[in-house]
Amino acid sequence: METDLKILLIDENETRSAILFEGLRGSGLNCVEWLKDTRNLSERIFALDPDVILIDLENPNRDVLEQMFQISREVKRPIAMFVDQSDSQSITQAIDAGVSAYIVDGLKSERVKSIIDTTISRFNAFSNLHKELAEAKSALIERKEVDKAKGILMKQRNIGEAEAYALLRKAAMNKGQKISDIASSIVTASELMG
Amino acid sequence: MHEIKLGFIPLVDCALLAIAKEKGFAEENGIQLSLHKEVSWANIRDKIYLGYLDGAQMLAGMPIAANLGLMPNSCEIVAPFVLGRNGNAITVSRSLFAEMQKSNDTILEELDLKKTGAALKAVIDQRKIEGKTILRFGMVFPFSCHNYHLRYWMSSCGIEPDIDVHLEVIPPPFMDQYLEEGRIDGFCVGEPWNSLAVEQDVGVIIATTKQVWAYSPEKMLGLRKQWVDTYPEALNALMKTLHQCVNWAMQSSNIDELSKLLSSHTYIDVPAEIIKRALTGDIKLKNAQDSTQIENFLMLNANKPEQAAAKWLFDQMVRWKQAENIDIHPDALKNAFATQVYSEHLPSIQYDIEIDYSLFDGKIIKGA
Repeated sequence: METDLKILLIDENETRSAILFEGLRGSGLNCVEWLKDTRNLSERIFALDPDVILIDLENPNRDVLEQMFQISREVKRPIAMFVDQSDSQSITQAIDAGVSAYIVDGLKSERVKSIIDTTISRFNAFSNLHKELAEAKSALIERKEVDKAKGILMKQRNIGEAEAYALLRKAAMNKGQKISDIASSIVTASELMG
Repeated sequence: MHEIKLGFIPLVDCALLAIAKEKGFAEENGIQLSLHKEVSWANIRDKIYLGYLDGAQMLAGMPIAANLGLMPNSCEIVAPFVLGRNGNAITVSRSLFAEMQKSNDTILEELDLKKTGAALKAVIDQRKIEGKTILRFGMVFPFSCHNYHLRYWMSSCGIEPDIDVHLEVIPPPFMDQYLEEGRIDGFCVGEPWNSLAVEQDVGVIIATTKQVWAYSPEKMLGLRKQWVDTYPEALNALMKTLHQCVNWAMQSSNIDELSKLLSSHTYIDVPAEIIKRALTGDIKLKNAQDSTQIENFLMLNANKPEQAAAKWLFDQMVRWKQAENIDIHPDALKNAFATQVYSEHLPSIQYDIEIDYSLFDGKIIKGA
């Protein structure tokens, strides 16, 4: 019966939603609805009548959900953030991961806990992935800058690639900067000089 | 240095916090102030509850709701400083404005809440006869003056806010879009969102909420009580800082600089020219019209919280069934609107504004 729990996920990020979706499915939860477009949120929640609502913290529609504590005629049952308010540790973990949860009163707390834990770990997995991608991207940009700087040095000084790289490394060590920083100043300077 | 972390929402009445940080007043008073832009009031509440923030700009109803346990994830809040009074407006779609004009075509010239309300009621009555859909209005949070002012105004004019109209929470940055798409017929929101709707010609400002009560505390500096009890010196420095910010903001020669400061991406991210309207009270009610000078449209001064205002807000919570009128703990309202804390830290401040407690319908706020 508990696998019939209806979960509503409100998140504008498609990748993150897909990651969480898969995670919840993996733990046997098949009734997961995802809302990307949050227009008319109140009506749509009323129609879906979810047991658990997960919403990303950067979504201003959290305030729309807050209204439902006040107007019980909009949703059948009042909902509250987390089952046990004293469980501030899991709230902290959720906030750190960037997600907030609203749960229908009276749900068994172990069941909810496992949903929240899955959500937190999937949100964290997404942000790690995001960070790795960003790092990979900036590493690529840095490498291109170093290649350009090497080319400039090789041409101007009439030296080989290994020597050009050695020069860059030496300058970086002397100035206490990263090789990529030295490289980009060479590229900028060369662009200015023409 | 006192490290203080405060949250804010991109609205013109975050001005004093922005000034504290950007004009160096916080630093002069030994405060290392970090400001955190948040997207929702719920985020602000939760982050204060978890201790991620020491305090924040809050809707005036929030410290009361927190101390009475009307919201989840609430801790005790002390709000010793009013960051802004008034500053909200009621905007309707151009088509609703046209319908209202049928019974009164001088709404904008008169700016009389009773007459504006009568024109709205005439539209509602007519729509009932014609079997048209119920009018929908956006507001920003259940425990907000927007909610209470709209309800107070409407019910005084014979409109039942829970029956004759539909009031729903919509985040401020979405108001204009919803209005343009016809998903709502009007809204009550703080600036710059009304002026932006006028500028884009999707709405007409038909009233300002200062017409309901001319001195309504709108945003408070709300702090965790635990923080207030633990760091009295930091609190003192913060109170002094804010008072200096008020003095700076009150100089008309600084308005351009303030508008520009708030227009940056760090704060509101809306053109300075539009932000300036709320700061000068020079409000354009309708697109392609001359602006109207509205006195005290937004007040960044008169910062001492008063119990009478807290009680009035609590009465609205009871009236609209958010709270039960049982015996509440006497400290709940005293902390929520911490008059004493203000007086302790800023004992010598006398402002030359006499606060008038009369409401637009002739009633007087009790206990004033």
